[in-house]
Amino acid sequence: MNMWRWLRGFLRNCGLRYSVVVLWIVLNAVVFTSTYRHWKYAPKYYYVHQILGPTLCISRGTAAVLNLNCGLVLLPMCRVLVSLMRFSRISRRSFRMLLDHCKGFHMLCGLTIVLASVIHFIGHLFNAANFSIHFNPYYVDVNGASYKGQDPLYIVAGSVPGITGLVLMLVLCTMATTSLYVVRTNNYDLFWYTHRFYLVFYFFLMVHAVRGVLKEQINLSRHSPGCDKENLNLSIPWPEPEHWDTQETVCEEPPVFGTVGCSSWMWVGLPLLVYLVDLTYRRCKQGHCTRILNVTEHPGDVLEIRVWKKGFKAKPGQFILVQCPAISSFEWHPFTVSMCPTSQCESFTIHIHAVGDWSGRLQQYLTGSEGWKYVLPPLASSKEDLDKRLVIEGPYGSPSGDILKYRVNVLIAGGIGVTPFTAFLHHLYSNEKLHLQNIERIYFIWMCKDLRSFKWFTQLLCRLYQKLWSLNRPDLLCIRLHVTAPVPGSQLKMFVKQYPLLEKRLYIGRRPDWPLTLMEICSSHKGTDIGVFCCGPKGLATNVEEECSRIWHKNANLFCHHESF
Amino acid sequence: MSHMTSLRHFKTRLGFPFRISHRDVKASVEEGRRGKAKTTTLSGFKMGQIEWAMWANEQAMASAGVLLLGGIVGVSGIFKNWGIAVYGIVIAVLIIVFEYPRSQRRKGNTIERKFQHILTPAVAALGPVSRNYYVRFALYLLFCIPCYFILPTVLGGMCLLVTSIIYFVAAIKGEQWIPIKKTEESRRLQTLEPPSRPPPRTPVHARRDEARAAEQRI
Repeated sequence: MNMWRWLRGFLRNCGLRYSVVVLWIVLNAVVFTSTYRHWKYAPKYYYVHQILGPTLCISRGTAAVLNLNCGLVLLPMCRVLVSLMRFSRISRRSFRMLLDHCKGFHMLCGLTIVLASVIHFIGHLFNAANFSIHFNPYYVDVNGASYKGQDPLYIVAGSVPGITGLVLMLVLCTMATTSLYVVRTNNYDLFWYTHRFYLVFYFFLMVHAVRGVLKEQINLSRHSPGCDKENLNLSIPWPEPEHWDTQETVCEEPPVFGTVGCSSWMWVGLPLLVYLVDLTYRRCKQGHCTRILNVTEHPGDVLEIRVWKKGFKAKPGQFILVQCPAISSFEWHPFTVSMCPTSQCESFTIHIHAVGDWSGRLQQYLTGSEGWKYVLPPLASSKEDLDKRLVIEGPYGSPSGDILKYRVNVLIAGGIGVTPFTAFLHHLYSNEKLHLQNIERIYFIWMCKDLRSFKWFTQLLCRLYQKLWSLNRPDLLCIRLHVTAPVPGSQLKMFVKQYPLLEKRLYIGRRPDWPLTLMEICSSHKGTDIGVFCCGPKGLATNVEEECSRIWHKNANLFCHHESF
Repeated sequence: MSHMTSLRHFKTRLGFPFRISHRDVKASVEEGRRGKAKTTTLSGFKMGQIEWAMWANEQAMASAGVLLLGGIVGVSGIFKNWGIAVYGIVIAVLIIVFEYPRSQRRKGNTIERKFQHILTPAVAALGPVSRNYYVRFALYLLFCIPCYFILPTVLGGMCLLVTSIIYFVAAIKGEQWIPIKKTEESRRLQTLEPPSRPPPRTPVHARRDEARAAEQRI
């Protein structure tokens, strides 16, 4: 029975995602196998197969897998396209849950590109050596080497595919090492800048097979492959290649060879075009008419920035990319819009936790701290120049976009991860026309290390609570605030005195027990679809997702949407 | 930077949270323009505090992997000058052993590799050879030269060249290899004292009353 429950939860939360992965594995296997068989049995490759042996088919099979994955790897990064698919009316909940894992699919394709490249590279090492050893003196045009015994190093260095291949492998090695978890989490700048080498990678990929070394026979109607093998004395260590040409043997003239064309553009062209159009659209939509209206410093190194941008509209849960040209012209950082524009107020707010280099410098820049050694250059004379301190791109959808599509929502936040949920709470507070009949309950569980962190949004929580009381829906919002570290008594007294409403909703020194909490929520809402939204550190998101898959209590289904940082 | 000092004084008087309006930021800019603060030309292209040695370490491990694979292919019997392939395998193994223990980061937590505590003392015993990144830059630059003479090890040589360049940058930035100290493990091994009162234990206020009654009797 427990196994069955676990399977139900697993299929509900992860089923479609893993089905796509299985489908993708099958697609890769089909592409590899079909290309392998094509190069093994097609008669036009008989003579080159004779020289190179099985490594020819392996290298061509992996080349096809590389082409496929180099195309697929770009699609999850088309942010505008993904946002459109998320918010389109035809998208179903399971499809939107799938879109939450775009980055994971991108990383899977990246890993496959690295592995396939390694096998492709080793295959071509053997091919270069075989071109040198098994030089065909009878049909000289089929050879990749200029003479028998030519150093394989010169065969590779003297060809366009050889040089471009080495450059591609070097660029890939650089991108792969900086994409590792330990480097990415500790030196995000480095990962960001070296990942821009993808343009170099795609350029060399397109020209990799130009003036290729591999040759195919083009006069099959006048010369059947292997028709004069009795006259040739070639010592080849592997069996003679088979081919599926069933026509009568013809030997009117010697074989004539041509270069195998470049096919990467067929696989990669369309995804690359879609990505470049997406990128161009994003760059064009970047508004420079941005004005910072207010900057507030909160405890815990959190900066609240109120921004106005011409024509900006965002839905709760969406995020934007922020650039500060004064700090860096190339860095873009994602932040969730914590309070969206409304009909009464066109400005929006973002909360930035100054924990990294860029955000730390932004904090010093906007607050004018002493340690900041840069000031605006003296030539900034107009008010407009002073106002262009932030460039905004977006908004884009996030996994939290499905809040309020469920009757029961459980919002679990860790630290600064509360920002998507506060956007929804602000939407509930400020939207007069919102119909609350479709929402039964919202459980708001927020965990912080420091009690003072709750001051980021206590005013909003209190005002919303009072508004719900006035609308006779006091039970709509259930707030639980957890402080994981011990709190000094004086600090607690001051907090409770300032916000008496939150006194009974504070849990000091303990984290929520997820199995108990979620089963309690399931018991209160039997037979309902419950949306569990989690935004916080990776460990929290993983724990919550595991419990959502494991628990099935009183026929209530838990759907987990998580985003982590 | 007198205007910065006055603003900081203003901040500490008010305490948290406080608002810095657009006017205040503009005022500090105006004062800067009047020459009261030191000005430095802004650079649009600026990277954060990157620990280059961390990247160089991962790149070295990847280069050693590529060199090892290339060396194994090179000794498969179909390449001439296979002695260079043997050299590539030996160098790759040495680099893996040498680079396996990660250095202590300048700030933040260091994620150790599994079982690196076994190799850390051996690498630390090499002294300036392991500590100084100029030595690594020079060594990898020299090691990669023979790799360019046969095809299988060419890519490994190129990756090793990139590694040596990154170590050169790390050395210029003043970074050093520092062995990770074992402090957390000693904390984890602390034993807890067993409770002094066996169960059943009466509540605290009842124990206090008992103690007072015992004192009065005495």
